[in-house]
Amino acid sequence: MTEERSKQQQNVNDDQGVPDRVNQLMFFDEIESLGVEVGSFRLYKRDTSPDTIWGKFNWGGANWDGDYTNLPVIGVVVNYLNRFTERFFDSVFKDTSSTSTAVTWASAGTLSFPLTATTTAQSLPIHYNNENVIKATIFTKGTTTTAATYWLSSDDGSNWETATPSTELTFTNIGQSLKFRIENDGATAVTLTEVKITYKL
Amino acid sequence: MLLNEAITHMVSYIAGVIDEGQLGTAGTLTDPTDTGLGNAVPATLASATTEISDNQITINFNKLSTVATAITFREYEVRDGTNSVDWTRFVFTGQTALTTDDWNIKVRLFVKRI
Repeated sequence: MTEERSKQQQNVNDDQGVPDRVNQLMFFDEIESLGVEVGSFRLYKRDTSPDTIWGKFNWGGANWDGDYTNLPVIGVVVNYLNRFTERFFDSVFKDTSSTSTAVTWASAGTLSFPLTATTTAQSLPIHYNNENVIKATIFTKGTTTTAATYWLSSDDGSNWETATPSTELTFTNIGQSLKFRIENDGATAVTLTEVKITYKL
Repeated sequence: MLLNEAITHMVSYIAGVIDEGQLGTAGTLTDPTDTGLGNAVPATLASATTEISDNQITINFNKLSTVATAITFREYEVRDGTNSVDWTRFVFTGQTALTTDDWNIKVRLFVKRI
């Protein structure tokens, strides 16, 4: 409890029985502030050695294709205070190859599952190569979020462990690559606006 | 109540002033009193670009394979170079820069009501 809050509480106690004063103090919590949340840090590496000193072009060679030979590979991902939040305004953490095409992820600020079939959304590593992840908790916001099933993996998706929202999961299979997976039941339309994962190393 | 218009303005302001990134080699934990990197590598100081999606800002930074090689980096910061303001610092497991690898670093910030 901060000093200011302590004084506030003391004032409320002192003014019990004086309704106007109490009401004035109680409304203190409705003051609104603006904050900047520091999110994830991601470092990707791309081996450009096949692309010569001309960058992505092989001068006079067969590789004049306007593109790099190698794809970027993930180097490290960390989150300030080990808190990751996905709000679905972009798809940088979407594992496209493991996410059903019918699932809408990105740009609109929502993750939406269709009503007609069981579908899956899966992330790329949200923590990678920066110590083992021992425990994690997933929190969700959205519509009918309880109709979905949630999994977390600490070992890059080799083993998925069922996660109950707002309940801490202790991983049986420990690793340094934390991912999440969400699946709907095929009978309920699920829309998520936020997935937050806190974890312990 | 704080209006959406004001939040949007703050997002634009932050995205407008952040314009640099830099890597360093110190692995000391981040602290609010930090005034920059623990041990900055000057050669890595370069411009950064920002993208806005709703109230989310993504800061994009590149280090080419020809820059600051054979160094093990452990920290990164984003900066407002014009006003010399350090915005945020991350510490991570040491990553050695090879002469073959281009690096791309992305950092997310989100402006919200609290």
